[in-house]
Amino acid sequence: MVLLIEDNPIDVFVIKEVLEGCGPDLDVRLISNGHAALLYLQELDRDQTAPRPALVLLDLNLPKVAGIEVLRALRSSPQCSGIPVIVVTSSSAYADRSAAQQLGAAGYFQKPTELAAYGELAELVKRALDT
Amino acid sequence: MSVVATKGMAGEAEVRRLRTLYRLLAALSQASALEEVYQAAISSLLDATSADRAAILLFDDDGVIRFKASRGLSPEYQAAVTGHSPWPQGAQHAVPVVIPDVRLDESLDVYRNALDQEGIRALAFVPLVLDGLALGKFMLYYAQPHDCTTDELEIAQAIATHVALATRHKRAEFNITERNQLEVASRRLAAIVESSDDAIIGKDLTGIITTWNQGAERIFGYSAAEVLGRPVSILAAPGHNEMPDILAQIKQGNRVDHYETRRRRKDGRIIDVSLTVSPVRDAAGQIVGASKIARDISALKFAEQERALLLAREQDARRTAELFNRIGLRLGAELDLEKLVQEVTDIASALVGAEFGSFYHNVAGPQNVTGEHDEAHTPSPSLGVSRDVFAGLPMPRITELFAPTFRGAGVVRCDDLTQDPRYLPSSPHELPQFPLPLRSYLAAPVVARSGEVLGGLFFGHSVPGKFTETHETIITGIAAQAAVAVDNARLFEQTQWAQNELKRSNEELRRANQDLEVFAYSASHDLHEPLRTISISAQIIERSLGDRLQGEDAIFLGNILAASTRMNALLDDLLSYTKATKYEEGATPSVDASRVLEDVLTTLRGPIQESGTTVTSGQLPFVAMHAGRLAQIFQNLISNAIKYRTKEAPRVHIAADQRDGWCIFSVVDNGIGIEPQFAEQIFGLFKRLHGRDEYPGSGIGLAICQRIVEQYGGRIWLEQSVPGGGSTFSFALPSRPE
Repeated sequence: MVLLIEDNPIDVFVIKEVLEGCGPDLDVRLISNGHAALLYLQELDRDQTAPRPALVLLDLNLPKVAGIEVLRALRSSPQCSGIPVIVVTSSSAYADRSAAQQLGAAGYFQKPTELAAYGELAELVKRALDT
Repeated sequence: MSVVATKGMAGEAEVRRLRTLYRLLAALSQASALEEVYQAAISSLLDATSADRAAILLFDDDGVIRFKASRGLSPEYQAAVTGHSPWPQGAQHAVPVVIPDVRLDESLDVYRNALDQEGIRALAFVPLVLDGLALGKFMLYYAQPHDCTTDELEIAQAIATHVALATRHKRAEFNITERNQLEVASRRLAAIVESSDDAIIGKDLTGIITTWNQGAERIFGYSAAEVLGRPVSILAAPGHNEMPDILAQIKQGNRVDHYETRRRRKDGRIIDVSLTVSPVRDAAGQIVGASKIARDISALKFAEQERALLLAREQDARRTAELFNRIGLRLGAELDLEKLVQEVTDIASALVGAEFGSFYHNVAGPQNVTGEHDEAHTPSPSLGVSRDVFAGLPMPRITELFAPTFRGAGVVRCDDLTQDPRYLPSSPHELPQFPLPLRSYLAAPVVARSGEVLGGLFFGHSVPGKFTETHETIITGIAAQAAVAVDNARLFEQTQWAQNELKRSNEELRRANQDLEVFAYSASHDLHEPLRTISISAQIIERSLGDRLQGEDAIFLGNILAASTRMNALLDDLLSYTKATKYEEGATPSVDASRVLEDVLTTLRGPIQESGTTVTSGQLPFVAMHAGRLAQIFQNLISNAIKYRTKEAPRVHIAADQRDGWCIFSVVDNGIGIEPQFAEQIFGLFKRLHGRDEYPGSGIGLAICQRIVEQYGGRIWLEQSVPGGGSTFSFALPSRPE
């Protein structure tokens, strides 16, 4: 199961497409705001039996709670710190990339304006799932 | 004159003796003084006798016989034998005495030593007799024992008689002369008394005036006739009657010396005098009256007063000068305008002794003078009580009163405002103009160097006539200093204000820039999102419709995609425009333009190689600009040159020139050129002269260049361009000395 934390519907559509191309039985779970994401994490930490995602795709530009906070929570969560996180964002800011890297993100993908360029994301996902 | 009969002597000696006598008589008749008489006698004696030496002695008033004249005798001998005479004074029937040998005469034992010392062996004493009485004696001295002959004695006696007669005659003459001299002396004394400038007044012991000189007439105004016989108390001045005391002192024989007092003249005027009063004694030594010398010292007293006044004035002036110096120092140090004005007013008030003092700023212009309601004269706080004095005066009056001063018309002084026609009420119903106790008034304008009237110093006092010309001078001086100080304070204020304004606007500018950055960044960012959605969505539609999309639908979809793409590019450019022209904090560095160019050429290596461009440059200087910014300019201009090229391989040449304090760069290319009417437009944001299909780009390159150059105080322009013949872009930056 891949957890997708993203609020933009178009991005959700496209990323889901990408994920389908990475593996037919890839289950995608969607959370569309930061606050809900944190609650979900708390749930995971509380309930050890709950299934945890194999990969998290995280948008930085989330409503309610910023993506970077979610990343921080993910990395410090006892249950989830081992899960690879790929930051998927429209920001080209170096500061964001650096922060994500420092927080231990497994990858950083800048959302392109060309549809075809989403193919790169597929590579990142495959690589992350393989490890 | 009697001739002595001779007794048949030898003719020669006889003749000689006679001749001697004739000579003596002649000499005696010519003698004008007793001295000459004596000398003549001695000469005759020596002539007529065989004596070696001779002398004449006479009895003086105490009966002692003394040498009157001598020849050949030492003073020691004379002293030794003075007083010795064979006969007493006034002896009758005195006869000559001869001592043939002094050694053999016991009566002369007492003088033995003296005689030996003197070398005298024989003596003859010849009496000088007048009216039968001995007056004195002749002495004949012989070095050898000698017995005088009768002839000798006779001739000596004859000479003696003549001398006696001559002496009496001369003495009488002398007495007369003496008396004459006394008379002359006393007349001279009288003249001195008369001509003296001082009053010399004689009075008797009852205080009656006995003598009165011209000086007294002049000093006291009375003539001698008016005062002689009257008591001296008529001269007394009220409160100064010490005369009885003075008289008492005189009676005791004491002098009163330089006693300063006052007396009254005939015309009633009181004068200052210095008195010296001495007792006057008669021949017996009894005090019979007083002599008073009175000197009119009124002038002296007046001069002393004047001197004291001058001294006081000088001290005053010195104190004022010191105060001035101090004012100068204080004023020079004070830059706070209000404090300054306060100080000036306080010090000035103290200096002129004013009860009230105020400084008024001349805020409004000359129209105040017309008497319209005037709020513009803002008083500065001054002496505590006085603050309201002028403010308490009714408005129109105060304007009139102050008007000349605000016109800058010099010092105004009024000894009594209530009497001055300028300030009297113009109509009977008007209340008294100065309900407050303001009589003396002094005002001076404070005029700046530019001639502008900054304000006025106004002083008042409840006592009329308090302010003098000297105060005018003082105030003028202070006003002058105050003007300079006020000028400076204002200048300082303005400078401070300007500095603060500058700081404030710099702050605002920085904040605005920051805001702009933040705005631009977030705007760009926030605008990207929906744009991407549009673009991706259109792409998805395109994908899913695939071939089914035909004709116009396809075109419109294409439009959506193209427009989104362009907008993305625009947003990116906008963001880079903001970044490129971000406000740089801190001091501007001095960078080597040639190094910057090298870096830019490295960055553009790809496009340069692809297009076959050659970039050359002349000597480039150091400029005051951040390296990144200069690089941006070079990059944009060179990129444009490459982009807007003709079929020829692009050539770019960069040169720099120093002119009039500017460093002017020129970038010359051989590109497609620009028509002159578009020379300004091309620098506009997003302004392009060509379609998107012809040349790519959003058109912000030159806009960025312009923004950057202007940020550094410079300018950029299209120097020249020929369509098809290349362009020259120039930008100028202020030179900075290295």
